Amino acid sequence: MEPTRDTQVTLVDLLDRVLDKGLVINADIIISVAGIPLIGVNLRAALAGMETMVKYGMMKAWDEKIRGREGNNRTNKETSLLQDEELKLKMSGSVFYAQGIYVAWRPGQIYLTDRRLLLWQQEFNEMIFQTSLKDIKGLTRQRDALCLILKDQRRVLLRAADIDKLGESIKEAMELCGLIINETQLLPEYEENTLDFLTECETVTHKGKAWCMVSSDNIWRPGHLYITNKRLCWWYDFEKKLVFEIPTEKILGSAIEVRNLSPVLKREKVFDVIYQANSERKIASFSGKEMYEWERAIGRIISFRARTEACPECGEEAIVLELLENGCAHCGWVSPRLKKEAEKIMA
Amino acid sequence: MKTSSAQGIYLYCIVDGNKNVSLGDIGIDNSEVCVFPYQEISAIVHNCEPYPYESEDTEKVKNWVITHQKVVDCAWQTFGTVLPLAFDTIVIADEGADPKENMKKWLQKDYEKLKEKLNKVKGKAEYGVQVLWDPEVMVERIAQDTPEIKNLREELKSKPSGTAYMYEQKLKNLLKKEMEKKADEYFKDFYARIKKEVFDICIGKAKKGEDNLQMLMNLSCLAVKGNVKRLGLILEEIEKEDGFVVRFTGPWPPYSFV
Repeated sequence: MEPTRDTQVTLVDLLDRVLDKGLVINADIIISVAGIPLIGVNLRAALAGMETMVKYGMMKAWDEKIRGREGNNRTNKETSLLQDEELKLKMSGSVFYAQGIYVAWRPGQIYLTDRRLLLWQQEFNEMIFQTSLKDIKGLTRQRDALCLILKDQRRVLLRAADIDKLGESIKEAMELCGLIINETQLLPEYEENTLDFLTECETVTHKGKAWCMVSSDNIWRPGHLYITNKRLCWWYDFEKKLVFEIPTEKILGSAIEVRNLSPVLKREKVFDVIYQANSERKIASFSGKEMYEWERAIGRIISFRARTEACPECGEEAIVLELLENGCAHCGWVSPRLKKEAEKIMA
Repeated sequence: MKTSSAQGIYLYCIVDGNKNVSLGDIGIDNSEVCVFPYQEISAIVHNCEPYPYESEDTEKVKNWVITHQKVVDCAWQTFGTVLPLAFDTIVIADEGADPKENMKKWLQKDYEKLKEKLNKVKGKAEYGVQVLWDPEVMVERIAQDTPEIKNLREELKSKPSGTAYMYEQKLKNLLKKEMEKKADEYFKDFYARIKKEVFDICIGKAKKGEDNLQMLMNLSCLAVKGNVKRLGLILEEIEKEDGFVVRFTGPWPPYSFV
């Protein structure tokens, strides 16, 4: 009898090992998400469920149902994948997809032929993304990704081992078909417009896409969260402006919690910011990708606020922010920067 | 208050050796996997954000896990001996500190232990051995082989429905006891035969079997990598017995033996 490691039949065996075993390392230097299992029990059951189905030849039915693939040729071979097309380029890459709050880069192998561009997941024989070349209307290079604009206005973001080469090759392949592509930015780069709201001496330290729910009306709105050195504010996508802000002095604390947001969005992680508003304590809730970063940022803001230091002149302890903004209350020492500003005003 | 984009170190495994090479962008989310050396050993890592990879998207998680294993495999091939870590082990540091310092401190503190473990698994691999049985087949065999049960069955056929129920209960209880006894006997027998062919065994929890099969034993065995012919023969013998199914998987990096 020979041992096997075929992923299709040993996924559960792999999971048992990779999720539960392995070298143990002292807990104080690794991330622990207290109380929240990193991989939910249901998820593991779902993953295991997949494997069982594979084993019993239900793969085909399951594939068609859940993955919605057309064409039942399930073989792994590239030749059948590409039918009678000419393969122009193959490289590993990933495509970005967003489903509501979930965002992900799905990895696979990119194949560019004389007729199509597709992204194929070899491990489970799945077509992650495909488009005919004739459906590509525009192509632009964006920071670390290639953006394709398709006929139906869909924007597809692709990352690849060599993005420039991919872009060039797609253009070439399309030219050979007699297709024209538009290389200008069809949709404006989002960031440029939004930072106008910043005041002088204000800098953004954290930002990210975030859904926001203010005033517990249970309505989540899409937008962008910005944490600056002066405040926490939120930009509403639909009104294209800042609609909410909390000056940092008013921030009392923050927490990340798992909550049911709606009958459909269950067990979502939510970032709550507790703040002071007119002698009341209020909570603003956000949901986005960088929540842990935001929580740390708020934590830092709060601890920074309370931090004390000795005045360089007289040695009296005082709150750092006080020292920097107003100078030492005991001896009148001011920081060089404050002195310069005072001089500027005098001049 | 600048935030660095890489305040975490994702750990794949510890390897024997300190060749400072990049394993390429084979990591999770296409991260570049590199070597973090410490004296004669190294950690295989990628730089990441200081929070865990989490998602409710099954597909995504599955791919992450498969990628994690692929990286461990690559390290295994490149360096020869690995101590694999579980998925999502990320080293971080307190505010303002560098996780690399924590890494160094840990590797320094556990250096001897890690070298010992590497030595223990050098040239070896983990193999999964699961023995399952078909309870229906087993019940039949027991019924035939155990006179008390065989007789009870015979008697049952002739009883009216009232008394028949009581007989049935008695039969069920007897069968259950016998099954458990047999399971125990088989377990001990198979275990002893398997132990002779491997260096070490880790007994795992029996899981739910598929297809009406019951799992009798779930073992992880540490054996010479690539040379498990004798173990394979024992497993074939076991499977020859009526009603038994054996699942033999591997070679895995030695997750259960570190």
